[in-house]
Amino acid sequence: MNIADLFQDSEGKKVLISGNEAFARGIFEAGVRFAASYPGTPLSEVGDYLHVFSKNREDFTFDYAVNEKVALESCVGVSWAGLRSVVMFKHLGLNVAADPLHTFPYSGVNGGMLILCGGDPGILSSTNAQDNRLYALHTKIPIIEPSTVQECKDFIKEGLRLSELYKVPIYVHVTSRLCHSHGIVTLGKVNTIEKTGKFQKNPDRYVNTLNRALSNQSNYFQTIGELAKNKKMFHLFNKIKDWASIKEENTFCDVGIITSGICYSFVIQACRRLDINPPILKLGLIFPINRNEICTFANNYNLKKLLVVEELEPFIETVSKRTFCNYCDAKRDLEIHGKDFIPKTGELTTDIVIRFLINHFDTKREDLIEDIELKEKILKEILPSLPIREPTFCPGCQYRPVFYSLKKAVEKLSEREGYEFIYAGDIGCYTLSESYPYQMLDWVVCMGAGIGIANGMARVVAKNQKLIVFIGDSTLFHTGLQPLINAIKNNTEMTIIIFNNYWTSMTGQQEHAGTPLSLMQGQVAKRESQKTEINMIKLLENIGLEEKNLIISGAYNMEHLEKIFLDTLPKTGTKVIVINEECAIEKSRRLNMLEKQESGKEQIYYNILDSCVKCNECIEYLGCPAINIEIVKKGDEQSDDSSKPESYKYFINQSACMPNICPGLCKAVCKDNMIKKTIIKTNNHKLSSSKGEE
Amino acid sequence: MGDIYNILLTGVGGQGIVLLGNILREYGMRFPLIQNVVGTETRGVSQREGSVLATARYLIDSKIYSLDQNFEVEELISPLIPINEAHLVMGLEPLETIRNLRYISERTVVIMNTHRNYPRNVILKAEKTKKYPSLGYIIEILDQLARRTISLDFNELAKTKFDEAIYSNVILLGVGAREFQEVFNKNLMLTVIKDFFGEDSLNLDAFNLGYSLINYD
Repeated sequence: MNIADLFQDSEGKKVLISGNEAFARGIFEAGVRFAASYPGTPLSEVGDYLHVFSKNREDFTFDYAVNEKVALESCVGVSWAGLRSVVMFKHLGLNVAADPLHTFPYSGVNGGMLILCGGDPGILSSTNAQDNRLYALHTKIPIIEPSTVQECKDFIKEGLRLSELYKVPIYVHVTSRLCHSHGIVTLGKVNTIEKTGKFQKNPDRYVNTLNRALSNQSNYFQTIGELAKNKKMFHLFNKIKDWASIKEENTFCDVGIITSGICYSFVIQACRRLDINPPILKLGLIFPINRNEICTFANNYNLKKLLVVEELEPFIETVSKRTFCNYCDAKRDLEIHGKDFIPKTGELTTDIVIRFLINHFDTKREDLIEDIELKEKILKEILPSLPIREPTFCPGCQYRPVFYSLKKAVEKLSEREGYEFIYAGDIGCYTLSESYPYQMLDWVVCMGAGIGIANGMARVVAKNQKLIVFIGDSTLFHTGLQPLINAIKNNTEMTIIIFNNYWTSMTGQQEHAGTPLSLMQGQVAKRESQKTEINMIKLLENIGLEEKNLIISGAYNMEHLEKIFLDTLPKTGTKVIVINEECAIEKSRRLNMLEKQESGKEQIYYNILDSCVKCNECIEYLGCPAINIEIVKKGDEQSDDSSKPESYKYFINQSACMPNICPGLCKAVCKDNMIKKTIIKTNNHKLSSSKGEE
Repeated sequence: MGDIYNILLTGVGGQGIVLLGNILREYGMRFPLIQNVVGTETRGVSQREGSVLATARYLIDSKIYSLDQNFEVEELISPLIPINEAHLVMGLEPLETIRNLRYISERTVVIMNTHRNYPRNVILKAEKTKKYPSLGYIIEILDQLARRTISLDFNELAKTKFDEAIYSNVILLGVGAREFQEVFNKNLMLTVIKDFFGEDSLNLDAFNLGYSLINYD
């Protein structure tokens, strides 16, 4: 769906949208005044849609905040001023925002406030799979979790109402699978947005010190207790799946299922496959859980067994066990199963749920299990032998020449001086230096942990062990500045390479504090919200870094870069090398837009000559993915063997190559001059001249 | 009453998997006999030569596609296809097709582009033990497991007919649509393609070429 349509009134219309689009739509319908985010998969797109929407709107503000803590705190501010706000980021962001998260709920909220947080149980694009529902045990913040794309939209609206009713923030739990799912959604009524809020002073409530905090804490706990007991809220967010046949036959009712979120769809699908129809309680409000209502569910269906289907930690299972065993609210014992079978790691699938359920139901579908087991046996034989596709830098990427030159410099220095280099990584595209052909990465933990961990290690390792730290511009502003200041303060020995590509690229080229305003104007019309750019170089100059230890360079001159590395790496103290070069993908998009307005343009092609001797420099050291192999046909017979060099040749995939950005790195590294550059000048769709260049 | 019809799209980033997924879901949204549509896609590596996968799942009115199970419209909500349950697999790259063997069974029709995209580590010496499997091996396994396998170098065909390999995916879509005429209405599919690519797009010809490619007489 195009973004403009997503923010039209069109109440009652049915549309096919993704979970992330549904969240953005929900925020629009609910009349939210302010939203803030630090981009992160799986929720990056929600912010992108809202950012476009916020353009030219007086009554809606969106902020790509410098990090998640700032994003959350901004939203608290808006809520305290009486207006609705939503903060969104990935699960790991909640750790960064955890400090205010544990205290501001004592004061509560005024305008409704949601914390929309995307989990990643399969670790598809993160560094861990932490189950953020467990934060509820610390913070007591209520959690709601949508199960369908329709609910992604509806729960934003209902969640804000719940938040305003109890004056507490609400946490919206979602996982990557639902964010990236598509489904049919009926659009709802759009609320108007109030533009101006007003903060009413109340030190007893907002100044959380000593006695005040103690009394606020007690009020807050009481509020959550009341919410837990609210029957109406239980039935607003939670649904009991009542199969038509249950009422009549009552066949399998000694076993019931509790589940939530996307897992509900796996449970339904598994039940269909197994021809069973147990009562299913689908939780939408998963914290606090109304224990009485869970007891009623178990008692109504006369359950003897309760199966809990959830991803990661046994959160619902633990609460259920408390309800039935320790507190004895149910006045009887109940067998509860869940994590005794379902794995605590990875994403759930229908197949796992089928295997779990079949243990507890009298079903005649053993053939299904046989089929699954037979297939899994076949998969076990075939899949491990298949080569995987490692992610790598995009074609034309400005990081590739940096790692190429760094590797050359490091090899020379190691041989000459006996140095051993240690590579500290961080979160960003440069993390891909772990894969072939560079393999220069020794750790990745979390945002800012590259310089952070180096701060300690550099002080104790042997003199010949040299630390090189990689960090990007957006990560530096996020949580990299503090460890950098710490390093400079102590003049701790390390070389920090800052990849300044002007965008938060890995999540889709969002703006950040240092994005130059000149890049945001005109051609990419959507980016106009930022008022000032933070000049990173001036910042570095002014935090005490010695002038000789601050080196600035572009990315594409590899000889120059290698010289910089050879000079800088052996020096003592904290050195910073800033690579100023815009993200190639984003730059290409900008230039393409500009070119459309010009009549004449130049097209450049790189080709590998047939006489190439396959020295492998371009493919094995530079590693540009636009260079690939194709099998050479000999007559009619086609060889299938890609392992023999004589049966294939190298070629440059023209649709992947980025000659408008990349100055021909492959040509530059080719020792035998086997890569040819061709320039074709086109003028008003007419070939006027063409020129070859060796 | 109705049944779920499952389509799996698989290939390498840049081949238009996400776009094909969108086209198929949009089609499902518009076809009157399809009561509900869901789907999902893998994200994040699509710019970087990684494996990409997308799904489209239709809840189809039993009038045209009757089976023994009863589904209620709101129940088709899982975007993932269960093991063995794909009806149509469109494999835009052989290695990625065999990687998704999990979904292929005797109910599956596989349409595979035999044009290979070699992973970096096969070309480099990184993974000496793991070779790109031979086409013969891949097709043999698919033949054993699937109901029917159609394999062809769609890149070559697209280059011959339209000068550019990028049309290979829509030709392949045409073959798939012809294979399941009961689910895919040709004119509606052409309308959807028109809405995605424009009135005079070569993609319309590409779809028509795919649709009439296989002789069913």
